[in-house]
Amino acid sequence: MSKKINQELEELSPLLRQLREQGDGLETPHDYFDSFEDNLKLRMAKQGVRRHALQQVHIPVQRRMWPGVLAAAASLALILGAVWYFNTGSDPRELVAMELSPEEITAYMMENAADFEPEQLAALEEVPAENNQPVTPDKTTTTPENEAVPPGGIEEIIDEMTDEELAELL
Amino acid sequence: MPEKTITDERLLELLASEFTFEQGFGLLVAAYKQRLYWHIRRIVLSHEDADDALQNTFVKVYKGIVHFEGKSKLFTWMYRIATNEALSLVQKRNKYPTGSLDGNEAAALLRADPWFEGDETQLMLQNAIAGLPEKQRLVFHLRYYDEMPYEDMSVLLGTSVGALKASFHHAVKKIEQSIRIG
Repeated sequence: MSKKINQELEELSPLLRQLREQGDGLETPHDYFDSFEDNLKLRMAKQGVRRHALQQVHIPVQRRMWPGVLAAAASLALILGAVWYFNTGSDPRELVAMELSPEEITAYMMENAADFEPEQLAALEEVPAENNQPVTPDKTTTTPENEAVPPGGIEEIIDEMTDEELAELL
Repeated sequence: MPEKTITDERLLELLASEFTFEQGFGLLVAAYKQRLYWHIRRIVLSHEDADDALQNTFVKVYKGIVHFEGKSKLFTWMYRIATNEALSLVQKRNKYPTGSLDGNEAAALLRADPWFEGDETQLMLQNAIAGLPEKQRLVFHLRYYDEMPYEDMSVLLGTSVGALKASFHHAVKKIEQSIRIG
């Protein structure tokens, strides 16, 4: 490279080519370059110089995307939950009831009659009729369907009925 | 420039990781400190100012290297920072607000600098260089002292190669004339 610049100067100005060989007379203190790094570190520490974190520069887009990603994930979870809910039935109690036979349901409700409303118990009486299935008799209940037929048979009952009652039956 | 023994690619690799950043920056300073110092020194002339501007340059490189996108050479990017730092320091200290020295201001500055050991001819040369317009002076420095190829200079200064050759030619003629007049 020096050869090239010297050739160029030789053509332009032999005087400047000659002066270039003499140098510029500029000097530096002894060991200036050897101690430069230490002096630079001192200056940076004194000024509290800090650089930007590399990740702030290299992945700013990812950082900006985080709130959006979280919102999208939350929305997706809600949608999937709703789809599952409406596809599988709204009331978990119905799932349990579906696995029980009407007889088992009735028996349970009769045993725990105190926990149910009168309307629910009344509705229960209609279930066997609707399903054409007889309800299992329960000795502890006092409903008319569960009363035993007297020993004298049906004739005895008819004898005890008034004319109006018989007319209603016929 | 014998101090540069590591490639820019390797330096940038080191500077790209949090774990090796400090090591990479240390190597970068070691690789470029002399070359940048002499570039700055020929603009500001005094050693004290050159040291100040060089340290500011590396502080800016330290803080700004994460923004270096690799569109130009690493050295070209630092050269630009160093040039701006040197020129702004000179203007800030109001030694020659226009960026050029008139009359014998450069000679006076150098005579006062304990780190100038040149003779009268060298003083005249520095005085003539300092009297050039700012951009012409930069072109002269980059070619005459740093031996920078015109193509690299073109990237650095954003000027065509032809315009740079013409600028250097004019600078040489002006300096020669100034020295001959004395």
